[in-house]
Amino acid sequence: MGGMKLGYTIIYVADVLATIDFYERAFGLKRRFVHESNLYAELNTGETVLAFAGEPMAEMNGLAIRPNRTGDIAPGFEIALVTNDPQAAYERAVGAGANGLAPPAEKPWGQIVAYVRDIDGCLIEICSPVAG
Amino acid sequence: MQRIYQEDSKAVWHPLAIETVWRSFAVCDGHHRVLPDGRCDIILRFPSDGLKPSGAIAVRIAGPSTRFHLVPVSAGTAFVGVRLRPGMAGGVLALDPGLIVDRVLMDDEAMTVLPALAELCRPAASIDALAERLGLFVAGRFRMQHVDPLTTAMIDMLHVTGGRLPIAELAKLHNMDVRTARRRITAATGLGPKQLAAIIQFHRALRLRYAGIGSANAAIEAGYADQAHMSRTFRQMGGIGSARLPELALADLTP
Repeated sequence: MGGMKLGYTIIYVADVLATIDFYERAFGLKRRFVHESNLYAELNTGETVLAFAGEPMAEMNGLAIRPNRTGDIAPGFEIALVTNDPQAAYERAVGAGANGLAPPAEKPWGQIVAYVRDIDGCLIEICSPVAG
Repeated sequence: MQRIYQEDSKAVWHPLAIETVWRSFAVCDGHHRVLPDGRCDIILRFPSDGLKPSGAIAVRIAGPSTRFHLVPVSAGTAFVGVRLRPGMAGGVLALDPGLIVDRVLMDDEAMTVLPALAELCRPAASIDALAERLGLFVAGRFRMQHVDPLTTAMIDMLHVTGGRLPIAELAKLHNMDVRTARRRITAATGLGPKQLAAIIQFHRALRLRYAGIGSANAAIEAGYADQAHMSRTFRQMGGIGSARLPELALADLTP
């Protein structure tokens, strides 16, 4: 068996179309696939696909999940989006309805990092590339 | 600037017991606003030029507080304190923190509880030396057997969740019934889990506000019912009006 590679990050959300619409406006990402059922969609994020699945899909897959909600404690993972201009990206995200948690600030290792929560309550890190 | 406040979060002395060793120097007369943080501190107070003590060193133990208080200070007064990590006071002070909630034990009273504190009041060459003395004092006294790892794990989880995890869920995640969880957290911190959670939530909301997050968003993220609920808490726990955030230099506002 060859080594595995990370192919997809799939987040269960209440409304797939609303979420990808938000990701397009907030982060400038483009949709690359939306299933006709509107229960699954993918964004064009490079080698690793960021995808969203409707919550009913969880049950169809035989899973039980804790739904992501803005009013709940943030789930313990984050999606990190890399940009050369974290300040502008942060402002754009907040302007599009993201809940800002931490404006861009420099980390001890030189990276600029900001945090927001998306319209489903998931944590999004907006960061500059790690130097070197 | 009314005072100079610094924290050393490296906690090189004892990372498990010590959250930070802090120091503060009053440049002019005024009040320090001390916010409730649910922790115990050992504090040294002395006249100073900002670099070294220039008079007698007094010691006090500050118990876990649930509401803000204003400490009057005169220019040229310095403080060096060690803030114990939540739940670690018993292991250092050999004292039930529940007995000193919202209390500060001054000089003689503190010495009676813990005679060993006398060694902290010996003359010192500098504030740096005092900070080190405090750190080593705590590290030397800390006894692991006074600390229950499961209780520590629950307290840590309350912090990680911003004080938003209900006690029932917290207990369940640690295979414990609610009553036992409540008893253990109360014994370790001196505060009931609900009270502790409220303090943690308050600090997180403050941090969000000080990071520049708007009131409405901060209230949602911190888990308050609404902005009014958050404002009420700011007023009650911090004496902070909603109009303007006061200049604060304190614990937990630095990540």
